[in-house]
Amino acid sequence: MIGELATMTGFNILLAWSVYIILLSGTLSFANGAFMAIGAYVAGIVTVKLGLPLAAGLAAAAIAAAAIGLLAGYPALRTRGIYLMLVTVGLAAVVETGIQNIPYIGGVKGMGGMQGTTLYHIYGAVLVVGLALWKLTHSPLQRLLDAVREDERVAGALGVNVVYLQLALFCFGAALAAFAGGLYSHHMFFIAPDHFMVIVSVFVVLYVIMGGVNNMWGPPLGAIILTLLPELFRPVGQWRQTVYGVAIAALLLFRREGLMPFRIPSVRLRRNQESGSAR
Amino acid sequence: MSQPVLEVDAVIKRFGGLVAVDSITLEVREREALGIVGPNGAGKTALINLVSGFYRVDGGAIRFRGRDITNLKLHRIGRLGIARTFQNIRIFRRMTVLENVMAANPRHTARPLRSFLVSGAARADVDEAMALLEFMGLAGRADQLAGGLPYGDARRLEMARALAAAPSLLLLDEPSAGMNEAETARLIADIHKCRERLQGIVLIEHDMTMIRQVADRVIAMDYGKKMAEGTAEQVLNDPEVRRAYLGIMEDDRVAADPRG
Amino acid sequence: MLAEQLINGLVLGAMYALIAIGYSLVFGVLDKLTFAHSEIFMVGGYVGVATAALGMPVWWAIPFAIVIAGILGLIVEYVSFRKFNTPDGHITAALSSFAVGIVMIDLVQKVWGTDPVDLDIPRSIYTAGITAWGIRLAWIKLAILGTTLAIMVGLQLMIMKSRIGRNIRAVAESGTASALLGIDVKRVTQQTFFIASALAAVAGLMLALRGGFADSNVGLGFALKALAIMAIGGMGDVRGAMLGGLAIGVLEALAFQFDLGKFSEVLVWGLMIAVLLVRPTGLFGRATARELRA
Repeated sequence: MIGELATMTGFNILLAWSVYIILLSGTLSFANGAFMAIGAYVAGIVTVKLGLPLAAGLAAAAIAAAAIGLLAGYPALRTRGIYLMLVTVGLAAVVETGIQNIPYIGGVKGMGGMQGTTLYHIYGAVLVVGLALWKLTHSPLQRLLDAVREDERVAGALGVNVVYLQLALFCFGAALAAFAGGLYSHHMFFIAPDHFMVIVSVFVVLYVIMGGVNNMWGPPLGAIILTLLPELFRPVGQWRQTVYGVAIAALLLFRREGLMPFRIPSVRLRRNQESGSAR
Repeated sequence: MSQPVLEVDAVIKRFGGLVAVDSITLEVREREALGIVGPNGAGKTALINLVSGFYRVDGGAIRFRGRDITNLKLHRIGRLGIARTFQNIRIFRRMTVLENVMAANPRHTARPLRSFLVSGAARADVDEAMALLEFMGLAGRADQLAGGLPYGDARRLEMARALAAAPSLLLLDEPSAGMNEAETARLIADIHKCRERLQGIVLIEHDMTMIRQVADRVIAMDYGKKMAEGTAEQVLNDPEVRRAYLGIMEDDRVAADPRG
Repeated sequence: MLAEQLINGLVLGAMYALIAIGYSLVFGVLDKLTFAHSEIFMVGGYVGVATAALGMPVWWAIPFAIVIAGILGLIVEYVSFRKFNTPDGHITAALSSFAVGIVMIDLVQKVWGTDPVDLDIPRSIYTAGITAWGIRLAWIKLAILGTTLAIMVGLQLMIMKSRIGRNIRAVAESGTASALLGIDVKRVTQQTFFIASALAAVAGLMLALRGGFADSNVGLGFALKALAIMAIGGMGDVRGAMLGGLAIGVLEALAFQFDLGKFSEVLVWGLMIAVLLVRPTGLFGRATARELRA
């Protein structure tokens, strides 16, 4: 039981970070559940139908998602704000229906036979992604991304190719979600389209918003809390979903920026007071 | 005769039925500071927006050091060496002063993904940025959030950030707006200091003292057209120009413009 | 057969249209999307179930649905939209309204269970009808069609002629200007939510009547498609939502006729994506000059 909880938490942390990576450049993606689905199925096809090892499946998953992210992302990133939100929702819906209609992967009935994911895999991935994000947070790239989020046009005027950056991050986020999806299918042994409905993408965004969007620790915090919350409310029994919804609405109302809203400056000056013209 | 740094060739910009820039031709010569004056709504900022890539051109051409940059993408123009400031100050408010300047580092803006591999607090980068902050007198505020800066410092930060991009051409849009005499004098001094690093400056201003002391040549605009061109003295004494500013000039400074 | 499918398509389209109009009204006034809308739609069906269960004639469910949905809409406005006026507020509002939506689903499921619930109305309603020109016209379908079209016409009239409608259009045009003209923007927003929700619930009721049952899971699938339709027709444009809804409904019915049913889903979303990329404000929407925001 605890093992299953830890597993799900691990997946949700990876998914939350996949949205966070995309959000770093100012784009909110409601499609990461779809990328997870793509990863789950592609990895499954590679291991079950083609007989290759898990690593190959995961790699294929990431690459496929990145490619689709590139194809879908490029036109999508020319839209903004609410329109972009809608386009990613549309993407998720298209993928969901698409999966239901491909007989090769079992259509509505789903596909089975995947196995091999262990807790080590999942938390190994969490560790690697965490380290990468830590590196990012302490690199000039973080400043560039912050600048893009502050004022996209001005960042562009300073020489940053904003669209390229947003596209690159979109693909990375998609690849991570797909990777998590690949691990997921090999944990569940059996997957079906209704594991990956549009709602999943929305929940993942919820983790990130709740946890806080301004630094890398917010999303996993949100993921952990929102994965464990239903369990915490278990005593309240069947009213979980209602309490869940009310808690979210209340939290959004009172803590609009998420639970960890502060931003850590990427560089601080550690110098004594002798120099510096104080005028 | 050396090539002009910037050539604006019969450039037109329309917004629906309104012509913001009406076939303007001008140039910024090597090492020159070109002043642009005119009432609000004359098209001065629109012109800057066109040159810096914020607006697309509806007609005409823009050349930077001989190279056609008409309708080039925003970031391409930035990387070619054109930097600007904004009338309404657009600094990165939630970042510190130091971060604002470091964010403009051309080594990183040009290769964002590669900059992932580098340290964000690299000595060389920090020193470079601090040197610029010292130059603009902001070194003491390095760790302060840009959003909390007093007005004059915020303007200076914007200029520092623009300079951090190592441009050849600097476009300043009313940098002295809202400044008192002391701050304006200081700004003039700062601009003089910058001139060595730059190949050209375009200065939009309402403050005639600034224009007189900084600009080598001045252009007056109104209704999107060039009204007059010459030295500061010539232009500011031109009857057409004075008429455009009629009733709103006091002591070489344009007060509240009824046409604003 | 084709003609029958066309009627089916119009019936379906009318329901899409009512929901899409609701999204449109809210977007027009607030520039935000409400994800609780789909569940208010779902609730409409259950109002029908409750009305029938209480022994009342099922058409009484219409005013009940309007009132109940209106109240729900006001709650959603207060909880999920009133406070979020920041630049990124549309995301928080969307997520908050989504949360309210899942509460609604849960509450409904607590009372009626998770399986679809039949409407306790005489089955004869579904077989009674006339045959004209070789087409079988069930009364129930005609009644649904008639009701929904009447509502849409009424809505158009209200928007164009009444004071409430004028205020809504004014606020949709510009909230600040409206406030300066003395319009109570908060009141208008509440009215908009009331109306939009009422429309959605009536659509949900109609759906339940058509199928004979209410389902707590229809919201996301059905209404999300209406969202896509709204985006196609024009974000914030009521006419576009209406026409779009009807058109897509007919297209879907025709697709099923020619055994292309599976693709109708992908088609709608693909169309939405295409429209958003080329003309984000939709086919009928007002195009804004993006460039002025340098």
